[in-house]
Amino acid sequence: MFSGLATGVHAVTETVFIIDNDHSVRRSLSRLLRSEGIRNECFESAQAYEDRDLHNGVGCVLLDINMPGMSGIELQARLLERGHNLPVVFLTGHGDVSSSVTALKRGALDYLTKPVDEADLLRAVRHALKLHRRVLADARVRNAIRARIDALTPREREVMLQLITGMPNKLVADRLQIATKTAKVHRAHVMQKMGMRSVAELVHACHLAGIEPGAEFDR
Amino acid sequence: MSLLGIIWSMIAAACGMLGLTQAFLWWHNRKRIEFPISMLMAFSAMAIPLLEMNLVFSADAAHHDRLILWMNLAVATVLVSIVWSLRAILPTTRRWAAVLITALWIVGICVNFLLPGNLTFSEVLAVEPYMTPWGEQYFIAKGTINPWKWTADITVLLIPLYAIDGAWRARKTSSFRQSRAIVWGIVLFVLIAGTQAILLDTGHYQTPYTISLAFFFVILSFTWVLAKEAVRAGKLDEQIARTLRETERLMRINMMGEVAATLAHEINQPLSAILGNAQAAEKFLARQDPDLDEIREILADIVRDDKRARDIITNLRRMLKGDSSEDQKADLESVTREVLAFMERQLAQNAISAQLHAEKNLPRVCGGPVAIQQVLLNLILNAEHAIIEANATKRVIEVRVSKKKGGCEVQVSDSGPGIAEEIREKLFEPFVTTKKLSLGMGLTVCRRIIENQGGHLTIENQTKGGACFRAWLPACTL
Repeated sequence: MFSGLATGVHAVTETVFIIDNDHSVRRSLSRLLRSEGIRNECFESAQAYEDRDLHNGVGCVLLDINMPGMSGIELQARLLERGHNLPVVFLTGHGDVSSSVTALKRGALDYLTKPVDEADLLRAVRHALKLHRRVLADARVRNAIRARIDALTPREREVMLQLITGMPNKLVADRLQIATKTAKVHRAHVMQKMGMRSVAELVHACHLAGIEPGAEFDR
Repeated sequence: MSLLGIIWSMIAAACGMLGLTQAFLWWHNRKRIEFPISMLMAFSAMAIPLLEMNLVFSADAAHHDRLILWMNLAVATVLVSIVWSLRAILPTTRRWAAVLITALWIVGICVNFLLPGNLTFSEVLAVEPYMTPWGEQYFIAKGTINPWKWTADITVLLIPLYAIDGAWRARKTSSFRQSRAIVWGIVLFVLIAGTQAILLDTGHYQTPYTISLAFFFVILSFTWVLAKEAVRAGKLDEQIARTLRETERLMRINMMGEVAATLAHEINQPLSAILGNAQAAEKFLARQDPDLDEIREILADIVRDDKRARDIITNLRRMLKGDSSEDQKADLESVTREVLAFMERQLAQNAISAQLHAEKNLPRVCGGPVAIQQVLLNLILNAEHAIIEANATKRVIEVRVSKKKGGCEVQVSDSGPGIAEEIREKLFEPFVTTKKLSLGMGLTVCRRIIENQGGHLTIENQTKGGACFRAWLPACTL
């Protein structure tokens, strides 16, 4: 489906960002991921990670809650403000129930209790990466569709909006007060420019781009 | 031997005993004013039977005049002390009445010593012999009644009224229950002394003076009440001491709970690292061509983390170890360092920096290290709380250990808002606190611990702001 839309998703390396103030813990987590061939970067404080440029590839964050200076929960809140969309997996000690709850409410993907078993860690990290991969892929598809929609003329866009409600050419023409023949031409252009073989595909693509039947074009 | 002589000697001895009892109570309870007053009362009362005894066996008018002079002084002292010590025990008595009675007696005593004769007789005219029913001869003075004698007589009427009024106003309170024996004693004294005075003065009936017997009842009642109360207070002190000991134990358990939580967290870190490293090593080894250098590095890390965990446990064990009897001296600097090391993480989390300044070559101090640690932990927690609560911009806890006056002092000062003057000295009393969620026992127990070791714990506000606690402990000479 949508040939050529999702290219380049795997081009950027997948990275796990480990943030823990404890040197030994950092090293062991890093090794464990490396032994599975997962690329990772370590940070000794929340501040150090915040100072880094936003990662634009697939990734996830392994974040210790209990750290001196800025805590994990604080960092999470700040990243959300900055529009950071990497999934966050928290690491907590025993008994940090209340902060774990706060973290999950704010959208943390998961939390792991230290000491973390390798299997749990890898499962959580893989799940987070998979999720982010899908998020990024969806974003790319959406961007590609939007780019194609942008290439349509205003009239073609109007025709497309009518088409995705399932109307036949004649009704589209009536609604837009144009000749049926003209409507047919526009429709052919829309399908060609959007790269769609059927109206069903077009409806689905519009849905992915956030355009629902009956919507008005805002631009 | 004369029966009268025996009776008076016994009364004098009994009054002396009661006076000594009061002196003893005073010695153990120097803050209570009623004990010295009652002691004065009992010793003055002891003089009365001795004077009476001399009086009844003397046929000389001039001797009578002189003895009555001194007897009046003794009676005045006894009555005035009865009034004021009753007031100390029963605060509902009227102050103006006590002042009035005292004033009347001051006038009386002035008349007694400054005008001719004494307060009873302005002139002793004759001494007349009488016989007791059992055939003993005694003498009674006759003379011109002093026109100022009413000042003394009126107090005999006023004192029971003063006592009954005070008792009536306190009738439903515990101070009445405690002091009613004294009120009855005073009323009995008036009945005996008053009746006797009327009989003597009207000349219907003659008896030797026995005012001392009446006073005896009053003093007996005072001693009874005060001794009973002293015993009760002693029991109360013991109860308070027991409660404090119990609180100290509970606080220790509570603090150990906190210590354990922190340590659990500390030990979790090396444990996580060890688990991760070991599992990574397994994976590396499972590869076709394992990188042995990597494995070696992992093993070195595991060993290091294991040692770290062991050190944490060793520290824990040292902190939990009770004060054993052989361990009664402490190196104040290292104890302080341990506590600060323990608190480091928590303080850092609240963005508070702790600074330790310690003098070189400090002597060891008396006291178990664990007890001192408990006090320091408490003081540092208080300092931390003060800074957090005030949300201070400057967040520093300074700890100084220095030599001072044959011992060592540790100062814990914070950059918080300090302590309000009106509460500062009361802070060490039980249930006094500046925190919302606190029982107010922490500093009470801290001071107790330090004082048990022979030291003292004080608090002051620094001129630059913030509170400063000073714990001084004597140097250990053993």
